Amino acid sequence: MDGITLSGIQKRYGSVTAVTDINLDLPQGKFISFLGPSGCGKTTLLRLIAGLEVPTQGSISLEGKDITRIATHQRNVGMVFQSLALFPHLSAGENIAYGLRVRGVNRQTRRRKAEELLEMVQLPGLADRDIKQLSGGQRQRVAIARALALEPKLFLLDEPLSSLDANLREELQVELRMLQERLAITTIIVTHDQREAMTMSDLVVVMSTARVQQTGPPLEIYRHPSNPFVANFMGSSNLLDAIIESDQSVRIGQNRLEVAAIPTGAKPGEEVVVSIRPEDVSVLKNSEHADNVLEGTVSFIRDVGASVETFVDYAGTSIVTISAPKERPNVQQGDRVQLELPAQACVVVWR
Amino acid sequence: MAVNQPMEARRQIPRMVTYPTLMLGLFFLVPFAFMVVVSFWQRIEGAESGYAPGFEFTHYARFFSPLFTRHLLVSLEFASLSAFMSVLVAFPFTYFLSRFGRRPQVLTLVFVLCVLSLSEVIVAYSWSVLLSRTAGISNLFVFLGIMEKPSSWIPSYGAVLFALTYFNLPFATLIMYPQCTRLEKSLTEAALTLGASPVKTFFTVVVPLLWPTIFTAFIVLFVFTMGAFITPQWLGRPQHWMYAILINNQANIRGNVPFASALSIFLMVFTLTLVAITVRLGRRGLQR
Amino acid sequence: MIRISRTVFCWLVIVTMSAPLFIVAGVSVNERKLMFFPPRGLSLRWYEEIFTKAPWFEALTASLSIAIMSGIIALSVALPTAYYLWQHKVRYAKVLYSIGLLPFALPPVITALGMLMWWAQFGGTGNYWGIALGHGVFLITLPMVMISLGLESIDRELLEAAQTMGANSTTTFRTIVFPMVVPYMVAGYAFAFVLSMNEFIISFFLGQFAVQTLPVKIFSSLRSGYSPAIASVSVMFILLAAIVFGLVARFGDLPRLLGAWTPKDR
Repeated sequence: MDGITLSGIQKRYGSVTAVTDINLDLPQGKFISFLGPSGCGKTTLLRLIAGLEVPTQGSISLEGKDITRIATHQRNVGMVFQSLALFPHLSAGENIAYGLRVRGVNRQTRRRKAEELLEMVQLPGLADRDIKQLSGGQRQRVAIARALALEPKLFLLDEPLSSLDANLREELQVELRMLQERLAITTIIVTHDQREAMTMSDLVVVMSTARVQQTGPPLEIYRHPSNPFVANFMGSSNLLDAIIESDQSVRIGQNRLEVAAIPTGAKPGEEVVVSIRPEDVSVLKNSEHADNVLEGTVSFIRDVGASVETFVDYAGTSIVTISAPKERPNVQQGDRVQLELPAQACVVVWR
Repeated sequence: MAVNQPMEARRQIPRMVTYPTLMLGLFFLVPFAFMVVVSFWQRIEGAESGYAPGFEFTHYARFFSPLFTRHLLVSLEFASLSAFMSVLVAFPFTYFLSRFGRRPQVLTLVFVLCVLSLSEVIVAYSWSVLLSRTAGISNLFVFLGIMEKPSSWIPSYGAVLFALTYFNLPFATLIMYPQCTRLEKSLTEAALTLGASPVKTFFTVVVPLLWPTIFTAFIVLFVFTMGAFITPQWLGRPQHWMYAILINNQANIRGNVPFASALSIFLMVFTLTLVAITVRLGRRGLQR
Repeated sequence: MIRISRTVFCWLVIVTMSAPLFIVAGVSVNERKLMFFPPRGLSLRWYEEIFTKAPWFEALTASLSIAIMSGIIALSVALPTAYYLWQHKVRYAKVLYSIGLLPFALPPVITALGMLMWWAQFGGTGNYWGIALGHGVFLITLPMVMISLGLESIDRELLEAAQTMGANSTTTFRTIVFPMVVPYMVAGYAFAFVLSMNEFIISFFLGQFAVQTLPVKIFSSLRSGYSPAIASVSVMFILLAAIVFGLVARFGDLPRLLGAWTPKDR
């Protein structure tokens, strides 16, 4: 088994459980995100992998070897901390070369390596610069260079981009991904930003309340969330209460909705939730007919420039549909409209 | 308490600080000035507190006699060594303390504060007991088989040095505590991820970053210890006596107040000059 | 492994720091008069002696009253000085603050002698007030530094918010600054109090044997004749400090008062 395996991991602090019941097989050389809201345990999980915390239960192995009891400084993980943790008393180059210095590498080699790494993160010539004089984006890159200096097997990043402004963030997202592909290093990034996870990762681990909710490629999770939490967290979603009718349909209120699949083992009469993305719901023009139609009243229209959101009130619940400006529905507040919810876009999950 | 506008503050001393100014001026600065003046006065033999206004340097001249020079050197030695050793022990202790959990940290702090509030009298007295033959630690060592028979470790150079170092420990801890708490935990964690063992991390990250406060603690303790009074007397022999004892001797026992003032001024100037030099050297060392 | 050696080291330091405390406690309950340790026979008579025998009791009251007064004096000078510096960063404020730091920056014997000489001119030696004043001025530094710390920790935006709601400087001080600084004032007073109780050299010089505080009494009685009452006094000092600081810790944030900075302060 190449890559990281977590078996039965649990971490408790006194009476507080930070993570529990974690069983993951993370493949080697891939870009992985731990995604979830604050307090879900994702940072704790990262720190457990780094060895900065010791699990209360369970084991961690890397490339087949059990590393659970191995101390951090012997694990050779490269880590970028949320606060970056750049050493204020060392220059940028010295920061990067710190790991080499600890290993006893001589000064010239250290210098050379530091300069190579600075080139790699596109900060040539800044080796002697004082940390305080670097901008946020530059510091970020120095932290990345430092983590990679020892050619670690794991590259861990704790919310690395959260303190940057939006433009810089997007730029670095792309760069990080390209860097990772080039180096083919197993990378784990902790983030609460679903878009970030979607953009950068091969694999997403969604977490909530100390547990893993779902693991899989981003698009897979987005399209087939396994529970309401994941559905809602991975981008906004319309969630409608429904009752199973048959293995191809559910009942919402008076309406019957055909669906592509129902949860395994679901029986008629059980309570479920239908999840459908706003971009999959469309407002029918008067002339159109379709299956899976729900009727409601337009309560609010929001034009945010790049898209138009139409809020429709259906039996007390709000259903949102998103459309591009060119295709905005020709309706006004108060109009009665018909919404189409295509069967293959309806994901049914347990309530 | 009214607050004046910034404009006024620059022109005159605002009402708010008249009282502090008076207090500090009258009861602190003026006595000093007086002491400087008196140090040049004449000593009248025979009279109880015999000194009269005059102007002479005789008192200052006596400093350079072998006796006083020797005591000055002894004082310097004790002060610098004990300050150094105190900081050496207290720094790791304070650093670890700042990493304790909340409850152990508070408990330890209360403990340190209690120890701190022991006066020099009590500390010197306690160690004179602890190092004595009849009631001291040597009895414990005999019991443990390390020594053959109990012996007295006072009066001695080592006893004075040890007691001075001991006395300084809680001060050192409290001086260095604030900065130790400010050291970001992620800095030491980062060093760990980069392969530095905890010991290596301590010497390559913690010490360099906390060096200013270590240095400050050393300076403060040095100055403070220069004024040690009881410890050298009770735990050492006359050749171990420090400057404060001489000053007391001259002022209260011999009634030679001008000389005592001269000694004090000298001590003050000497100490502050040393501090200024050391600080300057320290600062230069920080700029690489 | 590292964790264990850290703990061992810390405990070693703690045990060494507390060694005198144990000795003193042990000797103070010794039945016989001599300095025996471990104590042979237990008795509390030496504690009685402090409260019954005149010289000791006088010394006790002297120390207590001086400590109470000097704490107030120190605080009364420390507060305006620290506040003034915080409000107006003018040159004079800095100068005054530096003078406030001086008493603690010099070997105490110098301060003691200076005060002795100056006040002797006005017959101010050998009485309570002299010593209280002496302590009061000497102990300004600590409350001043602590109050400064407390003021620094006040977010300026709080004051600005109050101003937008119509509070002038006096009201802002009274309703926002002062309440936030009270813990630091209390802690500063506690420190000054405890340090005054234990202060020796200034009391020694200014008391001139007419007034003896407890430390001075211990000093002189150790010369003339040993009595375990000395040890009992020491134990009481320790207990007093433990109670005072224990209370501060219980009702306040002790680490913060001593200058600690938690991550949420950033």
